[in-house]
Amino acid sequence: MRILLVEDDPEQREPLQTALMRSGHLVDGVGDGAIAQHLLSDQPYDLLILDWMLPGKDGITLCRHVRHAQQATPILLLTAKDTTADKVQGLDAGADDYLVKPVDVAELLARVRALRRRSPHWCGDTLQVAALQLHLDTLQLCHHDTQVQLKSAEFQLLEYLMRHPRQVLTHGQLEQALWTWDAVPESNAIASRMRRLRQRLRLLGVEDWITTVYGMGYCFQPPSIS
Amino acid sequence: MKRWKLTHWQMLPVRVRGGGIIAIPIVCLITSLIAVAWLKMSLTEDEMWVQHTQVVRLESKRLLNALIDAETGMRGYGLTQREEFLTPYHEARRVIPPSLIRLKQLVQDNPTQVAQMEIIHNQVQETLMLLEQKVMLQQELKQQRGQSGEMVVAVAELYDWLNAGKAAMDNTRQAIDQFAAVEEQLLRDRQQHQAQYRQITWRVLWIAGGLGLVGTALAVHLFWQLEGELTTQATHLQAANRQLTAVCTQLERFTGNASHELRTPLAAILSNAQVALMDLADWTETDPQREALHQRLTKIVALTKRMSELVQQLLWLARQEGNPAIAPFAPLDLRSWLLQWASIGQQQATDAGLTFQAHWPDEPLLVSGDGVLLGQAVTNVLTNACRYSPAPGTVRLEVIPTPADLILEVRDTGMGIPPEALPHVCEQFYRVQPGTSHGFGLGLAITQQIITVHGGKLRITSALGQGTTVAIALPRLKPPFESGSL
Repeated sequence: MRILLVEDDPEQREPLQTALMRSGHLVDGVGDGAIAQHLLSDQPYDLLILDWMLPGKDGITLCRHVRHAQQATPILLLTAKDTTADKVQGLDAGADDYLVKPVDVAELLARVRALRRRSPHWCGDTLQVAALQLHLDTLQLCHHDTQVQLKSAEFQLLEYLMRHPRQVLTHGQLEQALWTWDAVPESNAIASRMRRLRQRLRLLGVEDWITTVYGMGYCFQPPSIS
Repeated sequence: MKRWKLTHWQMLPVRVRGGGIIAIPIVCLITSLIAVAWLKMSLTEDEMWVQHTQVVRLESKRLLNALIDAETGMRGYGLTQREEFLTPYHEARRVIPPSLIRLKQLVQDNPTQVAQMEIIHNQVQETLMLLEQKVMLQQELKQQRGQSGEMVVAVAELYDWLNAGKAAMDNTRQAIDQFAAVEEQLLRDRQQHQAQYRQITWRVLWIAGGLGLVGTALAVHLFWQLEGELTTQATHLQAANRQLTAVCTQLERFTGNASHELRTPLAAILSNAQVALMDLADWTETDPQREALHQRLTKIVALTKRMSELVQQLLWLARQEGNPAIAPFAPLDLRSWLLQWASIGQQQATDAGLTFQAHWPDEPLLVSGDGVLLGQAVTNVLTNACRYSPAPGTVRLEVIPTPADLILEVRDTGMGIPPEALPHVCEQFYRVQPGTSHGFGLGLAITQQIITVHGGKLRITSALGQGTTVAIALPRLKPPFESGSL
């Protein structure tokens, strides 16, 4: 999932971003409401995690903005404001969930999974192409009886490939989809990440499902179809 | 002294003072009306008496005139022997008796005049008899003269004869005059009396008017004073209200800020520690430092959660105490909530190795309240019971309905509370054994606060070494209808 995390305190943002990324999500962490709004208009997100009090534009305004634009993206408000009136105001502004700081990271991750299940695009906790199963919650990859545990970066790459099978995906597309907004990937970053993923796939004997299209990019081709 | 009287007046309730202000002119008005009415009545009475006296005077004059007419008529007849002189005589004789009767009736209320009338009556009768005799004699003489021819009587002789009996007539006249004089005197007296009363009436009217004016002025003054006082009070009230609102807003802002400032670092510590624990999971298990680090990070996580709980409880208390006026509660049947509370109690008791019992009657247990808040209160008590009871023991949750209250009782077989600590257990941060690691000493303070906003009472009894009983009494709501099926 691509998540936009808006939190002005870097001390809080960094560990949450790390925890979410470890769970296989691609997280854009932003400390300013106005930048968040700009990013929202730039590309679609699967989930927004917003603090209430933010410089630039507060979380409630962002929430209203998203709903006003007819976007159904799930929104989780994560704030220190704890009164019932605050919660009502937050949820009425368009938030789907409301968590009061400090929040247990395990709870936050569970809420994120729950919100993903609420998404209209949700089709199970596993992604399956032919005999290859990718578990989105546990980052495990199964092929028949064998299974392998993926790291977050490999998982994100594979998920993207599996969601776009039999398409030639360019370096630009992959960079856009797999790197956070503020990161500038090195020239060989995609190649090295692809190399690591192929090592994992080799353990399952399916490394040849990904083909390199020279001069263009990569293509995920399940054998049953090819 | 005047100052004291004024403050004394000002200390009276507004209703009494308003009544007083209205009473002053009303009392003046009523007094004037009564005085005037009484004087008017006396005047009318006087008037009546004056008229009465005048009637008596007129009647006595008429009597006297009639007597004189009779005498003159008789004398004229005696001198001239002409019949026409007898007409006034007979007229007078006809008038005199009813006049006498009328006079007697008129003076019946005055005994001296009645006696005088008696004398007059007798004398009038006597005079009339004399006159009658003379008339008779004259008539006999005339008849004889008619039979025996002219009989000359000397004029002087006749005059004298006719004059005989004048004394009786004079006496009568005198008596009547005397009677008339008394009546005259009475008339004068009564007129004087009337004039005097008229004067008094005027005076009373003037005085009543003056008093009324003064009373009205006083009433207006007092009214102005009262109005001024009420305005001052309203202003003070408004100022107090503004101050209260300001304090409330300030408190709200403070708790809001405190909430944010206290939670933010806790959130950072907690998520950092938890992410560090995640990172640690990636380490190889053989690393000797891994276990120690894991322990330390787990401790940080636990402490942070505890801190977070403390912050939450403190903020809750601060908000509740600053704003005791809670939104009106809805009617609540405790039975559905009791199931939930009992399962929490069961869980805690099992964790502590204790036996848990719960019992409540299957009838509507209606109170007015907030289920979540009451749940927190009951859970706090249950937590304490489980925390301070050594392992084989029993924690019992029971609901005892009384006509006025529902009593939620939590009884444990724990270590109990020393008598000297008992009055303090509901104080914030008070703990019986300050060194122990669990609890902040806020649980019972929160419970107490929740029970107070529900209009209930909290009673704690304890015997050291035997156990503690916490009873929460909540005012019972009468069910709107009797459900016979239960």
